[in-house]
Amino acid sequence: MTPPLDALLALSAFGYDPAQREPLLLGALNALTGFHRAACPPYGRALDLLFPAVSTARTLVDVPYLPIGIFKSHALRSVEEQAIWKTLTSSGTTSSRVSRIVIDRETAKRQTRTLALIMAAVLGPRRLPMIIVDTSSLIGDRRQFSARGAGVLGMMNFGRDHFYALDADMRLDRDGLRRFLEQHAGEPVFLFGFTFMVWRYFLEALAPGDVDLSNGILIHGGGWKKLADAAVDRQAFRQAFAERLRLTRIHDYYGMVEQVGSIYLECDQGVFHTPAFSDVVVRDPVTWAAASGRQGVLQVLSALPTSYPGHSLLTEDLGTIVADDGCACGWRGRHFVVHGRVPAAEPRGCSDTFVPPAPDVA
Amino acid sequence: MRITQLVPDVREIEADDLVAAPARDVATPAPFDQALTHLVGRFSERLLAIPNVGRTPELVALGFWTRRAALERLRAEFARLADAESILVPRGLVLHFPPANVDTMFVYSAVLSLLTGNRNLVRLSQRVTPAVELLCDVWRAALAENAGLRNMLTFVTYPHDPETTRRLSSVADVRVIWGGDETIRAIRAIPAPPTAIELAFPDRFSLAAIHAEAWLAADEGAQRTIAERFFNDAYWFGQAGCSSPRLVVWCGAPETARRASDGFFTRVAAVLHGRGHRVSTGEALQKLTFTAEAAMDRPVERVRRPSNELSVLSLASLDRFGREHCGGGLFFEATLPDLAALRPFLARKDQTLAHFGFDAGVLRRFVEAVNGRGLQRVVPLGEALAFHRYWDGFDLLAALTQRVHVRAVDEGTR
Repeated sequence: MTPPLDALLALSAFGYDPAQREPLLLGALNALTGFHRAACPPYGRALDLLFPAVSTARTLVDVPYLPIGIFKSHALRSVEEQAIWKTLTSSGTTSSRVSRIVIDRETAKRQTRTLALIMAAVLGPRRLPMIIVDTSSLIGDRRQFSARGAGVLGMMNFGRDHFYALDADMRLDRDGLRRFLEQHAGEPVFLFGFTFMVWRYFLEALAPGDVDLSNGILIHGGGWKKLADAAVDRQAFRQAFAERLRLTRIHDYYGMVEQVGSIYLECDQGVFHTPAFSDVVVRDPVTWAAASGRQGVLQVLSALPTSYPGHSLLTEDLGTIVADDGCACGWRGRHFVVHGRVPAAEPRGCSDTFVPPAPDVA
Repeated sequence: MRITQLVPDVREIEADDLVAAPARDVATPAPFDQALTHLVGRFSERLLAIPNVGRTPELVALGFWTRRAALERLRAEFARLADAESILVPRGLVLHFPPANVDTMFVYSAVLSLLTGNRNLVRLSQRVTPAVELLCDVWRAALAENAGLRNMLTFVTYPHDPETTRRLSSVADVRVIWGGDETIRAIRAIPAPPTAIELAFPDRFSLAAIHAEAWLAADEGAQRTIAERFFNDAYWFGQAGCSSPRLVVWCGAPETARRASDGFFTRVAAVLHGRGHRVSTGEALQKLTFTAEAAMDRPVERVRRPSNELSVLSLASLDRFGREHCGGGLFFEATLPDLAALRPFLARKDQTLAHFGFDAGVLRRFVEAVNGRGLQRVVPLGEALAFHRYWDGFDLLAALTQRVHVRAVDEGTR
């Protein structure tokens, strides 16, 4: 199945006209709902029961959704088993159960293509020399990727002359880093890593003036929980990189293994923007109606996935929409902030553990 | 291993001190000795006197259950267990492993064990909740004024450590183990003395059965009361107690049952609204995820989600009904022609049937027909969580005592 994506792909990732984009995205999402309903019977059953009144969504807010946690118990798919190219899994650090997302070649290709369009908005059209703030031992089995491994692999496409800055024990290869920067003096350099690792194993391992990264563009993601525990916020993060390494072009991203490819990038105003191919709805946690301008639970919409019914997912993250357009950074479209996870439900009851079954969907 | 004693006083203690046998000449009280009922009665008075205790109905229920009048009734029931040829005496040292997350339930079995004259050692979870903290406070105060009984009730906590559990088990005469099943397996793997017995309360599933016609025939006031009772059964402990109903079985014709269900859950929603009962966003998301899973895996025909606090999933059939559940106010429901039709769907794991609209004869015949293949409690709606000496198939007053056969010399051989 091919969603009607061509018109969306022709748009500039962050330069589109929202009024022109919305009907295109809505059309693609409705097409995906219809397709998955037919191709993935368990999805169809869940939709019929959870959203009995919805047939075709008339606005983005009406697009029916699955709770994102469903992929922890069900590896839902809308393609034949032979068409599965790889299975992505979430890192599963906080929960014993991991999400399993099945990807076919078409979905993967689409993810790569849109990610390229999104990344080009900050990296430019050419591949840049790339510093990966991680360890090369991360990339092992290529059929089963961890979220971290998949993130690094996906980003490697946008760089060249890859340099892994950390060893297997998370120690910074300082000499290697200096050599790499000498080699690429005067060129823009692309740095990628997970937010906490970039802070703890890269920035904190360097003294002021150790290296000059004023040519650098840092893209990082993975969440702020560990840094929040260390009392580092977005502003302190930016400030420290600017002061210590002269690195000022910094973009956090918000994305998840359940919707690879259509990530949300942070602009220079420090808020996430929705690219042409994806969007967010913030829902009131009591009424579940759209709660624009107020904090609520984030629902993520993506026009990409055809191998699994993950085009509309209610996340377990809290966010607030800042505005639907008109950010001072110059990028168009809806922009929002993420406040972190919804606090997990306290385990209660006579049982000490509760582990529901995790059947494979045949 | 660091063991923290919480009751009768707070201090660090060694396993050796805990397992040391009391001196031979220390007399322990007989079952239902006045000193024991006095101690438990003081516990009750102190508990009920706590300001704002009414906000925690589980604690109020415990306080009422241990009132002096209730203890006198228990004493009378215990007396009826005796007969001319036997005497009931304590078993000795009872080692309790309460559940981690149901704050008050374990106190009931500990109290029955105390009243029947046993010494008690209770291993509390490391995660001490405010309710448990409060219960410890009350026990400390009650024991402080009954110094002679200080060695009868000890609460400790220590990290999961098989070696400590082995030391404590080595002197136990009874082990009372509350689930989950994994906890029971882990503790059973640790030996107790050959003379010891074990009372295990594993993971259970509980349900409610409502006679659809009887519900529809009830007047508005009665319906409101029933909905209130159902709220108490289902929503205390976040619907996560072993006895919390999670499935509602409607007995009657399909159309009647549907009308009854719609009316019933509308009343329950009104109770939830009236009481301002709220689940957290995390729980709401967990329920939504569970609902989506159930929609995919089970024969769900209809889902009603009037609010975060109430979800009703109607099943077309109870065939191979899975007992997994998320708690937090989610109910499966199914319709059967009558109570007898429920029999084939019951499992060993099923503990409590809370009922409305059935007469005693129907209920007794039903239990006889089930004949032990599930259900240890069949109680009116509203009493699902009400603790009783009959629990999980045991008579705890009998199980926590030993029956000594006493025969004097026969007249004929004198």
